[in-house]
Amino acid sequence: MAFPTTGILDNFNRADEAPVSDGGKWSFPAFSGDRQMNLVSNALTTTSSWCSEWRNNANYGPDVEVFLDVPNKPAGGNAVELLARLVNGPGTAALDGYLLDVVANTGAWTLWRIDNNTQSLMASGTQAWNSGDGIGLEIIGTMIKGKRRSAGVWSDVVTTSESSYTAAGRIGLAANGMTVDNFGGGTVVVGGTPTLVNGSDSLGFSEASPLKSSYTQTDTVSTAESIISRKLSTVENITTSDILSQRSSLVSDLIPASDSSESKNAASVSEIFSIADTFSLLSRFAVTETLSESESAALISALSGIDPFGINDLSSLKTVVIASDLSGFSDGSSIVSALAGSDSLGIGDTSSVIVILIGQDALTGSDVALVLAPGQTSGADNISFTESAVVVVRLNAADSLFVLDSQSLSAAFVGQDDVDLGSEVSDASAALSAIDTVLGVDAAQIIAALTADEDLVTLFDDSMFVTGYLMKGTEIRRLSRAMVEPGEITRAASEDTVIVIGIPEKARITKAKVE
Amino acid sequence: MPVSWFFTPFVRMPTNRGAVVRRYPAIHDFSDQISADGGAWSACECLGNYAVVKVRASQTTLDAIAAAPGIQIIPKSRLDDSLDTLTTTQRRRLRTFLGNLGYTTSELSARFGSGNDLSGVTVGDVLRFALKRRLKPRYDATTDEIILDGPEQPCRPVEDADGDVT
Repeated sequence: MAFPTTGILDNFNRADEAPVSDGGKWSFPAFSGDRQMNLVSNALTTTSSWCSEWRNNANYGPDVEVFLDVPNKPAGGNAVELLARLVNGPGTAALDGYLLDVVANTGAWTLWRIDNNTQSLMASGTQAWNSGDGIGLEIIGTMIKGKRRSAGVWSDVVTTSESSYTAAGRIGLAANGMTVDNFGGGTVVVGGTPTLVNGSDSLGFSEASPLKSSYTQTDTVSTAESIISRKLSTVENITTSDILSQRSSLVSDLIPASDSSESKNAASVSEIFSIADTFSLLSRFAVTETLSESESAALISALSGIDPFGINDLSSLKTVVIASDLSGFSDGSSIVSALAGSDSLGIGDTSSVIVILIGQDALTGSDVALVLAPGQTSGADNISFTESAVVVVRLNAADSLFVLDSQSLSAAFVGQDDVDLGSEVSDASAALSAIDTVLGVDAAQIIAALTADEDLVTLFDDSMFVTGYLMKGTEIRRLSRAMVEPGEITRAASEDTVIVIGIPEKARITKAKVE
Repeated sequence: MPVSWFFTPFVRMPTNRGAVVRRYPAIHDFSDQISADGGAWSACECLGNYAVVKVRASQTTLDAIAAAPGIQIIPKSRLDDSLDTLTTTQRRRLRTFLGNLGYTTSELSARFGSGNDLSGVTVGDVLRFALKRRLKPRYDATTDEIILDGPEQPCRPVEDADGDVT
């Protein structure tokens, strides 16, 4: 099973706190006699020999995981502990639960059962570890595992089984002489997809919607950037090979399944917000003899939603936008408003998959509104388009629309068979180089403008737009055809469509072939 | 590499950490040696402040474990091994040991017969009996002792330890 399946609860990226508080969600000590931990310089650090803290705002489990990073491993016998299924009062003599203890210099990893605040050794192992590694504790059923993340890969170090404490409980950590970062965990998510915990749209739909749907967040964050930062911090050690391995497997599994399906009714894209729903959607998409646009689009969405490493969440370009005539929109906010209305959907609903038509058939703004009215699944006929590009964008309220030449861009992505972006382009730089080849626009200029968040209108003009950030690692996929109806992707149209999925550099999702 | 089963006592682990009290099965004293052998151990706490432990290690290490204070060896590797191959003295010593864990004479008689022996039973029979229950520990600050007088707790099945060490 993938680990972790949940997100970071506290990345400590805020002003110093003594003791660490996170709005009152941390308490100390977990073990009586331990001291407080302080937030210093965006990390959590001990204040005396042994310190412990626990999250007081929720019980997690019974299947539960806890993890953190150790940016700089001490040289001596300092240790860090992860705590889970804590019941009967952390900090009291009645405390029960489990803990993983990891010693710096000896590499001793031990699992302990806590009975009435008395710790009994259950299992031990030895594994040297390094600065920058992650330490994890997973308890699923009666199986308890201590895990290490090295070079982005989690592996089991020490394992045992135990059945004394089977209920959900608090989670926390303890350490002596150590600084840790990026504390995460929670109730294990079946299927491995992080789910949205705080459903209120405190961030504003137009600001962080592409990021929210699959991001696990149990506390409040103030900006989209803070989410991005958290997600980046969780994936920075994931290697390209990790992703390729996982993705190639997924694609291999999914495409044959789609190809063999009978024609079926389309499903609302609003349902795509979990692994289960994504697969359900895939299973219901119309598929005849070949992989059609709709399946491909769904597959893209599925791939964006299937996230064994928790990486897609951070894609600022995750939202799929298929749009028609967007000339009536002046900025990202107006698109959000037109397509999704006010955020009545809540950020956990459809924000991860916003579909806008782009094409020559000139949908009007009202048509687009019909297409993607919140929760709408009927009310307008199928809308076809003959030439289209699907561009994944980050919709920020303050974004300007960067207008590209529709024909030229389509030609660049679609019309030129010799520019096979779908199978050959593995990152944004290469994609932009391809644009350069076709359009004669200097890729360096595009990159510079995007990097600087500048309006690209000076480089392109007319009826299409690209906004957001094409980052290194952006994946370009080429699809054959597309058609949508209100709230749904249904079946093939006549012309090629290109889906551009932008993935921030550290995610490095590349080359998962869809065609 | 040879495998054997042991009963090992829990012992206090010194800590320099306030009210935190730790105990560990004495087999952990041999963890480094077992690891150096390329072996492994897995434990199930049982009644009487003891753990049932399966160990795979060199014969030298197994011998050292067996010679350690408080440790009772069952010189068999498989749960379905019969104890009939042990000497009568060995079997009687083992039965006495089960009684010392805290099981009553009537419990022993109900399971193994009224004699003073363990003939006709397997290693698994004995270990499963030993793992019928354990008591939840607590720390008594007054006496600085870990007291095992709490409610009965479930024991880890011996099959789990058996599966851990093959």
